[in-house]
Amino acid sequence: MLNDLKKQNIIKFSYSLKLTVACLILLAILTTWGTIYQADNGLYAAKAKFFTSWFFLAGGFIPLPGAGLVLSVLFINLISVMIFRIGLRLKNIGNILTHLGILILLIGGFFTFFFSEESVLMLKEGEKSSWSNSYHAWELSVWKDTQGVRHFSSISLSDLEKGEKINFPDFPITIIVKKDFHNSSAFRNGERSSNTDILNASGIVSIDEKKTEPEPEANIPGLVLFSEDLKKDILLYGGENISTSAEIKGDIYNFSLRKLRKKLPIELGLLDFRIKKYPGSEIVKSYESTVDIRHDDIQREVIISMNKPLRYKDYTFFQSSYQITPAGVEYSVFAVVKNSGRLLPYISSIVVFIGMLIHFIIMLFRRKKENSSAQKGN
Amino acid sequence: MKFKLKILIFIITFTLVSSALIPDSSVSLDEFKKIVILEDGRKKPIDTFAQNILKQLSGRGKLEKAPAVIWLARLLFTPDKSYDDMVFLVNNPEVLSSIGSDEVQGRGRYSYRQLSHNISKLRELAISASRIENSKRSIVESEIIVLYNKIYVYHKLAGSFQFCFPSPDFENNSFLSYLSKIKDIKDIKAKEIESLSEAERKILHISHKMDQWSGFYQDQKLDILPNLSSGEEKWESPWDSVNRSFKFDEPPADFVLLINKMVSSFRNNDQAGFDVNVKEFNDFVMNESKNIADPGRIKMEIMYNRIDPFYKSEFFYGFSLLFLLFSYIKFKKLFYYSSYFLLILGLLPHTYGLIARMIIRNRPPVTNLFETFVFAAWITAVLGLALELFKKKNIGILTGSLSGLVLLIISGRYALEGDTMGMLVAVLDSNFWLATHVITITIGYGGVVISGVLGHLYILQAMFKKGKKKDTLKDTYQSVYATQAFGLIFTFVGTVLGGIWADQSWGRFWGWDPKENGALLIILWSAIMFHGKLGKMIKELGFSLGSILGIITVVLAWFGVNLLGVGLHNYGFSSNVASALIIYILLELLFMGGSYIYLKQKKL
Repeated sequence: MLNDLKKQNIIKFSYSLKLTVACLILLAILTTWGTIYQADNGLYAAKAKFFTSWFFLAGGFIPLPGAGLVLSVLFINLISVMIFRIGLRLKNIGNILTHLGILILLIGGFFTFFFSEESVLMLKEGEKSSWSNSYHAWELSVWKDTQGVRHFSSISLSDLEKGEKINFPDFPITIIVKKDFHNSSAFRNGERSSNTDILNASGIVSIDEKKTEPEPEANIPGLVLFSEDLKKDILLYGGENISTSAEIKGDIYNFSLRKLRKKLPIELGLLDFRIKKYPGSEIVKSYESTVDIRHDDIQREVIISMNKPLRYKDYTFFQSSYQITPAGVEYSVFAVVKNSGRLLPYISSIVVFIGMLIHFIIMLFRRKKENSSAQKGN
Repeated sequence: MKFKLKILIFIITFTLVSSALIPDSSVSLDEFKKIVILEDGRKKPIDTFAQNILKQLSGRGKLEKAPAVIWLARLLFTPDKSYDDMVFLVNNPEVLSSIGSDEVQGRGRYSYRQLSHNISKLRELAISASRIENSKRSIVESEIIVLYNKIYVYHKLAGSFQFCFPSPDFENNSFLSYLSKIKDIKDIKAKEIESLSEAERKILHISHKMDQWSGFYQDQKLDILPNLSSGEEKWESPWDSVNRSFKFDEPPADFVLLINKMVSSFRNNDQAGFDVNVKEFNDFVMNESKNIADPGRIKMEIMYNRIDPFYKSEFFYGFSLLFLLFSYIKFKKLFYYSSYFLLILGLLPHTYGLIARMIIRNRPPVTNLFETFVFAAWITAVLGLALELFKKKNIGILTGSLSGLVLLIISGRYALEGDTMGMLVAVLDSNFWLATHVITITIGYGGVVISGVLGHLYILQAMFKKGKKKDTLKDTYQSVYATQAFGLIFTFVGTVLGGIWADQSWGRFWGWDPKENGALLIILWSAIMFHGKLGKMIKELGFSLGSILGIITVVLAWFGVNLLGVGLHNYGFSSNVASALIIYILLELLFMGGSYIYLKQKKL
């Protein structure tokens, strides 16, 4: 049956070497192009356009396949090659292993692309947290305190739409989204004329839309909400440090725009942050944090340093950077990555290496044999 | 006649070898060289420091063929005698005319005396140029800043031991001689000014001068005194110690007194006394610093400087190549074996250099761009030698010595940034990953480069070879194929290891960073070649042409991403490199296109 299948044109095409070479050439072009594109437009834009996309428009109108599509085709090509082309024979073992390894690498790539989550956790010495922040996704957060207990409700900004009426399940208030800016600039009283029907704790009286920056971290969103109950606008700006509060129906509600938060499976407390420099220079030799972690009623101390992250289940915490305020307060910044396919590249690399080695050694011996038999023939 | 010629050639080889091996003599600073200094976070012999500084000022590690340390000793101990040393490299003659110097002779090296009249003007221009944003400065403006910085460094060094020199400010005594009497000065200062005697007034005046000097000689560059008093490792310059004593009304530290002895014996041309005094100083430092500077390593580094191994390898590879070319013309065997011998000879200092650097720094051999080239040169030379051992068709020697030579020459261009054995920033501070990822990938690059060089050879043989063409071509093609495979395996493994390192240290295996993309491009191109050959889309000629494009991908991965100026890996940039790169690529494409058309016409 396999042999019948093998003769069908579509199947033939799927395992053809021409398809492999075409995919590899496309990938090489995309890699080069995307790298040059990065210099002017930043990594994020290059990734979105060339490396994670299925299609993109070159020059605005020519549709070309993105690396997402090319890699997927290559993936199918690989599987097909493994089924139909490379025979399951011992002399092919090197070849089989090499391609199996590449397959695993691609699976790892897809896993990471679809399921991994990156976020950041910044802690002051002595501070604790079990929440990490997104790098560039924002959320609208609303809370109120009743008898010392804080009730939260938050909505991702990407879920909000202009003109939408937001219903908070726990709060009896009605809020309408009047304006929703991806990137914005805020103006205080004095810079713009003020309006009495505006609520903002930082003295902002107006928010304007700004052109979206290619690097998403550079965008600071702005939100204009309308409270039906108060008949007032609530202005929120991503660059504010304080929340805006409003009394609605006898309760005090707090509103703020902040980076999207993610719950971590453990709580981290920063006990101490240390930085070492080479003597007599400003070159940083190493920096590390002593943290106190708690999970499932277990508490322990760990040191996280550059090249020595903390791993917990699918989560990995990296020492990524630090900040020291002029007053000498030390902050440690951890990158938090959740990736369940983390081990696949490791496995893949070993498999490919062994595969390539066996393959080329076999080739070498076969060629030597050919050579010597050819010489005998002469 | 023939016999005589053979002897002649042997004599030439011998003299070449011996002239390269005989170290420079005429140095009587053997003890002085060992003084330990902290520069850029690393403790090194003052011998190395002298080279670094001289390279920084003049672009060369030697002054008129004499080791840099001789110049430095002259500058430190007798500054006025070094004013005529031509150490200031001026790249752009416009700099000289703009500071009002009449020494307009184009690019060249100038002495302090030649520039000294124009320093205030230079300073003025440098200050205004430094206010301009980096990217908007003209070449002349950048050069002015560079030259001013050179003069600044020179001034600082010239002042290092000023406290030992007699000066009219101190009635032809030294600053130090009064620092020894600091207690008396303190007493005088405490008295009412009206009650002072004539002599005491004079001393008070001198103490004001000392104040001025102490304020002037701050932030000196020569960190040769260990100070472990705070529990932390600190190194300071002689002036730091002198200034501290002066500030707290204390007599000078022992270190400083030892330096004073050293200075006076040098200035009195007392060689024996100088050596004794320097030794005393060095022993004192080692004792005080509890050997935090490993004396074995210091000695090793002095030896390394003296041998100058990579320069010697360059020399041997060059002659190996030359002799091999001679062997095509005449005295085939003799030249061939001399060339073989020279390649092996070149590998000796090359290997020594790599190992010595590893021991001195306690690091794997590759940590920066300079070292990647040195290491890749070594790999290609070794691969060439291995090829020769297996095939004995002299293509191994050719590719080995040629790529070894070219890569070493390229490394020389990066020596200023990379040869100083600098310290590594936190993210690179991992011997394990440096040893695995960086080495494997450099081996891979070396393999791809060798394959490309062989690819050239294949094409040239196809075009010009007469006689047993088919066999030779098949042989060469097999070498192209095998080395390409070798290169692919190592580049792939190196790239994946890099991904794993990235995953270990900042949590992503692959980030489409330019350097990563560069490596990916090499892998993709290599994979395209192998699959194209397998699917009979290309033949042996196509594969060989492809291997040349392989070199281009390596070159792009090496320099191209640095030229883009983005990404985490960006560690070496120069705009001259850009034009050289484009010219190189164009030449290669021309060669490929031309030879392809030629061979197609001849139906090959």
